[in-house]
Amino acid sequence: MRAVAAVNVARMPAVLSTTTTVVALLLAAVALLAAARDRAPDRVQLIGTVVVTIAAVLLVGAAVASWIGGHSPRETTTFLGYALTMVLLPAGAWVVGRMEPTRFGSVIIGVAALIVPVLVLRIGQVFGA
Amino acid sequence: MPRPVNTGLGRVLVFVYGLFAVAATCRAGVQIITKFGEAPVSYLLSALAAVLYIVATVGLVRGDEGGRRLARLCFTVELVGVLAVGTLSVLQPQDFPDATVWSGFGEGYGYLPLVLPVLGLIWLRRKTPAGPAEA
Repeated sequence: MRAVAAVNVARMPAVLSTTTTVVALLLAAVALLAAARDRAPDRVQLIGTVVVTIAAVLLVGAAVASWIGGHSPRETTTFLGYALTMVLLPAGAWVVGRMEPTRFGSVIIGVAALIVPVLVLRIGQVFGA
Repeated sequence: MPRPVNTGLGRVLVFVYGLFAVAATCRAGVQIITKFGEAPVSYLLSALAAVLYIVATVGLVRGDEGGRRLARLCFTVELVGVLAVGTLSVLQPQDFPDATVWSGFGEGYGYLPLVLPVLGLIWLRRKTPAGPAEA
């Protein structure tokens, strides 16, 4: 029973990594397509930002949970840096993107969304999962 | 009155440069604090790159004549730095026991360290009031 729970905790980040990557790439596609069509950040991009942030928070939460469970990251500081960046980046990009109510606002949100999968990869490497 | 450099595409540059400033500063800080002895040259170069990204971001955000000059200087030094370090890291990898932001022309960062200063210099040129390209 204990072993099963441990396996589930260890598997959680893998599922959430994929989910975060997929929703981030979707947001990037939506935002960059909007930029190509000369559209400023809109409600769809806001929803996308919220979804990516939720996925990122869940992923970091699962990683921290497996850390508490004894599977610690190889480099603690680096992991915390990446985790914090991943959780804050989409929302930060949304705020800056809204300051630029032109197509370039959508570019900002799209670029930030493209960086999230890279952060997911790096977190995976730091965690050695 | 020259058109602003910190809106439109300029705001994208500010955002990406700001990200690089934060990322490079944190990375160099962690490396220097935890393992400076392993590759002091690499880590000092990373720190130099971090300072350049910070100053370039500030210059772009300010957007006035002084800020523009500051940003242009940073872009130029970055371009020289990424080309020099990139070339050296390919020719003499033993001099760089650990990667810098500029190693392999910035390959660890999707070659953005090479692309960004070029984009920045083009952007500042386009926005010069007497410039021929008024789009």
